[in-house]
Amino acid sequence: MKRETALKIGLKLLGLAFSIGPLLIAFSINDWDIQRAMVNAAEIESIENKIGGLFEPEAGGFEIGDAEYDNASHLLRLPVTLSLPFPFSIDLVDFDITAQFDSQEVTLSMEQDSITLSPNENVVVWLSGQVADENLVNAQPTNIQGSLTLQKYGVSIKFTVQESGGR
Amino acid sequence: MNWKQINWPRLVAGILMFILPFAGPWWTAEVGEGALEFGISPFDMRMVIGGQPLHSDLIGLFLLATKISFLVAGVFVVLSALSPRKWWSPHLCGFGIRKPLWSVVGIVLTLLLGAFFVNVFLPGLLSSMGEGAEVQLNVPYLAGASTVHLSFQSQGSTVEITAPLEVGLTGAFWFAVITVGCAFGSGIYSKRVSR
Repeated sequence: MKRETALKIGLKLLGLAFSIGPLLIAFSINDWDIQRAMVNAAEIESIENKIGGLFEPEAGGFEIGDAEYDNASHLLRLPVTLSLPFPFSIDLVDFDITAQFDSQEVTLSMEQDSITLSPNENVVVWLSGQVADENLVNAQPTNIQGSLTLQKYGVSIKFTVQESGGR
Repeated sequence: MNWKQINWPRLVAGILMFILPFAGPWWTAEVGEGALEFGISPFDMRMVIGGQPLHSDLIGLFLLATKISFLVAGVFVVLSALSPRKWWSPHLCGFGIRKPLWSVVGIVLTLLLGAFFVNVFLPGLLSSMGEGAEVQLNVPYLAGASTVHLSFQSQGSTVEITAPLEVGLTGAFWFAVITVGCAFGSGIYSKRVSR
């Protein structure tokens, strides 16, 4: 009976050691700092550096250049300089704007299928679209609305601007 | 050694308990294409954000202890299976034989409660963090695929983040279920033999 009791106690203590042991070891090797024991600060910082700027609405933006209009083909081309604040490369997969040129509304789309944007780089993206009216006197857009879609690791980030002006 | 006395299902359960801690994650989740990867089992937790793995000393040591505890339990179950009539056999068996069952039940409950929390409470919490924020999460319970959608509105502009989400139970989980089956079988076998 005595040896059975000893074995029971021994097994209970073994179970207890496996439960409390890791707690004590984890805290002791991290100078009893709970936060350090829970997460690795260097790894968190590395992630913050990677996705920094992603949720800062004021960072980055676009600047619309002078439009080119071909009277023969009625093709309107517009250069847009994008400045992205991300510290990582990202794919621009879609970029459309709808704007007023004279009195008509024109939708312009990205000429390429996809562009890889490098970190902290300004890139000129050409948008183009057909104009219905033959005579376009003022080729500068007003009342701009647009959206651009970026993609990284299979995650799509779509920015939509409702009013004119650059974001 | 008397071969007739050996509790064969218990022996198999004990041997499987040696393999189980090294079988890999029981459940995996992936957001996008490697944007967030997550794998969990009672012995491992793997979390990778944008290619950067995350570690925690506390969780790592807990899982290591679970692994060692499982291996020790496996040794006890094998010893108890080989000598079921020894006085120490029921005690050693009692220490180890229920571990696979509790591990499977624990993981399933954790996943169900986790998915419930993420689907029911997290969107509200995240949405209330900022004005114009809208979060739609539909995490499948245990296995399946869906889409995560977050949107933020401010000053006439909107940011929408969309990502595919895929979660699933792995072969290692079903291996654990087989181990539980063998552990159950050992009880039935033991009763039949003792009659």
